[in-house]
Amino acid sequence: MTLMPVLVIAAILFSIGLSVVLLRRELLFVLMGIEVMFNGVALTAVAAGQHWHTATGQVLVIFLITVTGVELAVALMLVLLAHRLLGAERVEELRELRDQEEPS
Amino acid sequence: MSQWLWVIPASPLLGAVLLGLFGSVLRRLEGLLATYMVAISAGAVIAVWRDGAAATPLHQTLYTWMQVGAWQPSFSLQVDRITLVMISVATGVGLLIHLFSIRFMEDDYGRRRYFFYLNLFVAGMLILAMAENLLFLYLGWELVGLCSYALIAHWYREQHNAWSGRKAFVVTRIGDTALALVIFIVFAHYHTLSYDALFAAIQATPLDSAVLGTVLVLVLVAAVGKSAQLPLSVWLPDAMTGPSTVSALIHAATMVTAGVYLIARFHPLYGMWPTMQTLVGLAGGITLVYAASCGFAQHDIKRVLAYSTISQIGYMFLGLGIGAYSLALFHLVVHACFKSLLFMASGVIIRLYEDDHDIRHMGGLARHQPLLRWVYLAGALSLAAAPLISAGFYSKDAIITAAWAAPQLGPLLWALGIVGAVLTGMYTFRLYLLVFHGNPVKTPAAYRLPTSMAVPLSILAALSIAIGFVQFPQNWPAPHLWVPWLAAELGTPPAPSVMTAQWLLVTGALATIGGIVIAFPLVYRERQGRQSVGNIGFLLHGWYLDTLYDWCAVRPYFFLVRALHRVVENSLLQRLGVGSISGSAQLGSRLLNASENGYLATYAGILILGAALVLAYLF
Repeated sequence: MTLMPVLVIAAILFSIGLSVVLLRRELLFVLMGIEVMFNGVALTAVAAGQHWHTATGQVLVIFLITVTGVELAVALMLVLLAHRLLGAERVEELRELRDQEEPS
Repeated sequence: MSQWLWVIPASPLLGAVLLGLFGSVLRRLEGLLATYMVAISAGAVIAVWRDGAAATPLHQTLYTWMQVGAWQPSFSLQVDRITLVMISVATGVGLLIHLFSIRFMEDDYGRRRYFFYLNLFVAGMLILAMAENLLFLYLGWELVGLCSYALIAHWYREQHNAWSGRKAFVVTRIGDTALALVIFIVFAHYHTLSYDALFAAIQATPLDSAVLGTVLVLVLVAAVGKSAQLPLSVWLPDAMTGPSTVSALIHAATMVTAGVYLIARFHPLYGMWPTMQTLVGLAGGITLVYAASCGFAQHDIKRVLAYSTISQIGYMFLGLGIGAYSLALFHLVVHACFKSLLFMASGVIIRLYEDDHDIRHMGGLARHQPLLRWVYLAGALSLAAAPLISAGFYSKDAIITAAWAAPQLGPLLWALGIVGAVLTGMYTFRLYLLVFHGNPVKTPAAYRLPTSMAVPLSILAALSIAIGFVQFPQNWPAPHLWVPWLAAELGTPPAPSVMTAQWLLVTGALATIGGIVIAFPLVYRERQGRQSVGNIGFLLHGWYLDTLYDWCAVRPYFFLVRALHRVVENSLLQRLGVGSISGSAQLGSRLLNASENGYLATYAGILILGAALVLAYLF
């Protein structure tokens, strides 16, 4: 099995996720984009583990899936809270942490 | 006794600290506390007197101030007889003035500040007198300068008073700088600042004459600045805006005599160069005539006394300049007694006339205030040096007589002294007669002197008369205690031959009496509003010395400052210097501000861009 096609697919996955994160405005879509990026990374890890004949890649991916699940739970909760408390569903509505405009 | 010397300066210092920290708790007891602290000091000085009166100098080293290589200036105290005289005056007269102040200042808005500075001043004066090295002396020197400034401007709510304080501070600063330079020069050559070691070193390896001359002139400038002699005398008449008690303590009895002390301390050096010594005498001689002539044209009761102080210190400088160091110190003590008396009594008189200082509005006070009249008369007699019955005669005329036998310019200095004596008699009795005799122009307020004010005045009046009896003119079959007592440290003053001395003494006495007698018709004319001494503008304004300095120094300086302000400060520094710095800071802030806009997508984009750049760099 050659490495290159898998890496290309992983890079495509990562780029799709990245463009979703950068271009979509809805919070849920941003989260989904992050998940897609994770998958691209995970695919790279598995492919590399296969390439060098070690189990490390697969172990890493299992950890990654677990951590992603946990992260997603927390992130969804934050999105829910943002909706409830701030009424925000889109990224640009969350601008509390910014520098104040100049007084003059 | 040596190990207890620290008590003398420490006690008023502690008083100042207590007043500064806990003054608000003390309510009306500040005066009492301050007085007790000086009393402790005075008690310690009495203990020194009882313990052999410093026949051998007492030393105490408190601790090393700083340590730079082999040089270790220390907080060291030394009490020899010169110092003993100074600290006796500072604590004795200081104690009486503190006592007087308790009631005098009891309703004042700055009472706590007043007593704080008064105590601090006494501590500073004691440090100045007891210091064993020049650096420690300089500490006391600056401390008394600071307190003088603060107390002149005591009633700071009036603009003029604050201005007078600043003037005194700035003018005396010239002298302070000179003293600092003396310290630098001396240290550069001998690497020591303690008196004994220094003078021994200078005797062993003399300086070349240019350096020695510089040192001596600078010491004279320092002394002239502090003691308000010509040409730096202009601050003292304006210093009268402070409370009268302050004038009594600082601007008559103690601080202004620091210059006399300094020169007496440096007398081994002046002894090496008689011309320089004569310069000191000449400065004193000219000053005493100048100030006495200004004295009798003044309207302000305190300014008369201020000019008389300058004049009397001129006599002390005259004494120093002819080598009669012990007589100069003698006159210092006598002057401290009668002048503090006159100032404090004048303070009461000013109160009686509801803060009117003008003696032309006064008159006939003798009937209303008999006690005040008698003590004032005692002080006035002593100031005018009335023959035989006043202390001033025994100290001042001794200096004038000795001036005849001075090594250089003797008759000239003597003549200056005689002219001064005539003028002194005139202005003193003009003052006394205008205030206490004649018909009252304004009725004084009814006022009964409290005991705590009457007692110090009476003690000082008694001293003004009696203290002269410790040193009668030479060859009189009467006690000669003072000069022999100081002879070991300060030598004996020059003495004319016996017959000459008697004639000189008689001349001096006649000059004084003549001055006093002239005062009567002068006052009579002045009361009638005819041309008299009181309306000579030239003398009233102190020979226009202030105006001269104003045009020569103050105005050019202000012009320079304003020019610097406009050109350098505003145009160069503000616009270009500060402007460019603040401008670039503002630009940077605006850029950073723009990046912090709160859009998550922008942050993510910048993040990715950064990562991509790092990757590009790595490959």
